[in-house]
Amino acid sequence: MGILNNILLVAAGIALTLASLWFGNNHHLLPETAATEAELFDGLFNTTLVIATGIFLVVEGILIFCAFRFRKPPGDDTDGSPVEGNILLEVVWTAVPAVIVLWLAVDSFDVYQRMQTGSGILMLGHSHSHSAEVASHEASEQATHYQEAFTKASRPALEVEVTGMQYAWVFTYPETGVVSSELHVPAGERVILHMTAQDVNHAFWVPQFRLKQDLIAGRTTELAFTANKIGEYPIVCAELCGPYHGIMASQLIVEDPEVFATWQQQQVLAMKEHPQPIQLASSAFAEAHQHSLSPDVAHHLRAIAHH
Amino acid sequence: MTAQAQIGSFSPADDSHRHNSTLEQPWWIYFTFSTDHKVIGIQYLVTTFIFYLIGGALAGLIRAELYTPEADVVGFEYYNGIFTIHATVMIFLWIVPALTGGFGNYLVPLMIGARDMAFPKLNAVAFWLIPPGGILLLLSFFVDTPDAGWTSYPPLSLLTGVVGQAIWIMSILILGTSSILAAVNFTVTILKMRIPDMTMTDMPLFCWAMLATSILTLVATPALAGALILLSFDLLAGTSFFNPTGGGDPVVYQHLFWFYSHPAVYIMILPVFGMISEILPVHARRPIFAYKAIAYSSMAICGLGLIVWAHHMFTSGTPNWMRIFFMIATMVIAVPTGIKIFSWLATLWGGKIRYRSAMLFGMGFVSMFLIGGLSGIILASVPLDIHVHDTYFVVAHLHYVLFGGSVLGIFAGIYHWFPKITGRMYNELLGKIHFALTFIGFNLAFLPMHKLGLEGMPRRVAQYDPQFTTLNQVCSIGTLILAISTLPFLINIIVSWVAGKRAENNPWEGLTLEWTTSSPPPIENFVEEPILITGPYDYGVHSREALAFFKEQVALMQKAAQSQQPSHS
Repeated sequence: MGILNNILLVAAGIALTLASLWFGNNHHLLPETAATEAELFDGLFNTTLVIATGIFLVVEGILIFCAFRFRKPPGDDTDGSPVEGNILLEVVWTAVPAVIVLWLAVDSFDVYQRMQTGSGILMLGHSHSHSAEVASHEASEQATHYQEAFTKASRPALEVEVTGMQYAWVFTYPETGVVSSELHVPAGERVILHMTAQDVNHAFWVPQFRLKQDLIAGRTTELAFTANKIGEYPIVCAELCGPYHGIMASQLIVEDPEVFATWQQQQVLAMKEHPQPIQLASSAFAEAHQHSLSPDVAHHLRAIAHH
Repeated sequence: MTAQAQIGSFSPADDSHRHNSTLEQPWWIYFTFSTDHKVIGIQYLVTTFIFYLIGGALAGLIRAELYTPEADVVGFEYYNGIFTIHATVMIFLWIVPALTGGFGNYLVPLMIGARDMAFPKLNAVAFWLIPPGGILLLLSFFVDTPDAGWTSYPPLSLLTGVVGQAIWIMSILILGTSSILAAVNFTVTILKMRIPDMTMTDMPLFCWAMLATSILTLVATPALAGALILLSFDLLAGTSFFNPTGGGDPVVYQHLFWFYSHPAVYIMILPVFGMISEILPVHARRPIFAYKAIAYSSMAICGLGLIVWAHHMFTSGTPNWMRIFFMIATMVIAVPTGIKIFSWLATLWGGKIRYRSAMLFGMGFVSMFLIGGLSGIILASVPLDIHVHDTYFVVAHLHYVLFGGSVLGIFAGIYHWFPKITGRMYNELLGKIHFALTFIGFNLAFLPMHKLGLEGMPRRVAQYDPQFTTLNQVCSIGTLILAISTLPFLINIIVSWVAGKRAENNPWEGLTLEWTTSSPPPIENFVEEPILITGPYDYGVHSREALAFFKEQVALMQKAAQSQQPSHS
């Protein structure tokens, strides 16, 4: 009986480990990835989910086991076992979680640093070589092409100024003076956003990049990333910014570096030939709600028009 | 002489001619400035439950709006006001006052053998701040709702309606004051009013939890009051503490706000931890496993809870060193929480579990709160939090903690102490139906939100990308089931309170002191100061002897009371 129990226990442990590993790596909870940071995120997320699934199965398993095994037998009105504690058990369930969470904290810190290397908030613009190094370590196969291009070119990061306002995004490329309502970036290159908010706080979020940064009125915040998959991704405002917060959206367009260069040239030409206000991403909305937009937004629209 | 007159009419539990209990006091006593902690406890519980129904109705509106991707039910203009008031009501007018004011008031003096709280008048003042604070908040619907979320971050809170925001600030200041007054009272009561035999480590774990909660309230709530007073200056007097156009810094507000509002989470969960530690041993007939570890882990959560607030600000431009510090502190809080969960499991292990409604909600609490704890670890990790911050993942997490945790715990507490509070038994079948509907509705409503947030749906939006429609509809259906689940509860409680079967003094055979007096207890709780003959959780050790002694004591008390009766009537 004792041996049978041990075998059952070991089998349960193996099944539980396998189930946790499987779920942590096949959860389908996240959208596709389109940046090197997103791949780092997914690795850490999956690891965390494996651990969380394991803890979940152990605790719920014991709870359900107790619920059936330790039901009051019919007609038995006596008490259960009088055991009040067990030092060894208590030490184990204090120490094991402590080790797990500290290890997770260290791992999270490591991943966070790797996400930031190259141009984090503290280390802004100091160590591009690190970025390439990390990129070559971490890049997935589909990204390799752009990573190589980036490593070879080793150009300084593309800088873009981002302004958030109720309820639109404005992207300015300081090198060329291009102003756009959509964010175009070249694949495989480091991009640094310098962000500020015109009126209230906003947050710049691209779910496929797993990156988010608040735009804070009166402050400048930075966000750096390396996109690695061509495509169009939503830019979502994630910080409550007023009644129409939910429609404050734009597009992030990741292009082949050559296509991006062409786009920029076209924008420069277009601006020289027809200096006119840009079409804000939510301009259809802005027109429909002209009367309810704040004076700040109206002012900004005029400012762009005269640019 | 009042007290003696009350004692004078003490009679056996199955006697329907009792006049001494709080219950048999005239109905209007609950509308007066009573200083009886039991009256005040019931005042809190009933008042806050009414606010829970109002907050729940607002949740219904939110989920109706989110049933379709378009903002077509309440519309953009009203949606923000609705979720702002939903959150404010649920936190400040339901969970916090129901747990501390309601259960804390009713149970703490009984559990430590005291006749009342240390400061009975202060206690009544604390309660009577709740209705005006709550009514003021709800009246904002008729003028101008606060629209900036329950967090009310500037500059947004300075740019939405001034009247609504000012009402919100005033209301929170009133409710916060109530909370501070109650915390002073609990701290003194627990430290000073215990019967002489009872040392700190003889106290029921609910009292430890209330002590930790009260310390946390005393340290943290003044920071919120300060932040809101400064915010009101910015709003009404044109100062620039947080207003960037005048050189203020909106991030400072976030620090002050979360310095209270993260501990507030523990204020809303520690008392539930305490109640669960009372409920599981009684119905599993087992001593609580690792009493000291559970007691000290409450104090550890109290301490750690004060140094984790900036994990709400990982995307706010917080400096790196701060992110790392707050990440580690937040992760560490999983350790004392884990100690509690494992100890509860070990309490069930080897027990003889009786499945009453209180136990179902208690075990339901353990299973659901666990999920909130695990998603909390994901939120503690800086790089993971950056993706899920301000998304539906957070909405899922906070509801697993505050509904799967606090609210399931409150229901467990209501069922467990209902016979003591009202002197009546509730209907078990309706209680079990209530549990089943709540459990199913809750998981349908909130489990899919994890995926919504991870996939890219931000929180606080009236309109969303159509790709999220299906899961949102599941959430809305779950909310409907949750709303329906309230009906069996209300029917059960109201009918049982009026016409339920008379409850025995100790229907669950509990060993804590509230079960040694009558159901409901007389005005000053105990006829004579109770004697501590057993630890609070000595099941399987000498519970039979202790229970027999309790019965004898009550019988003696009743006999003595009856023999005194003629001289007083």
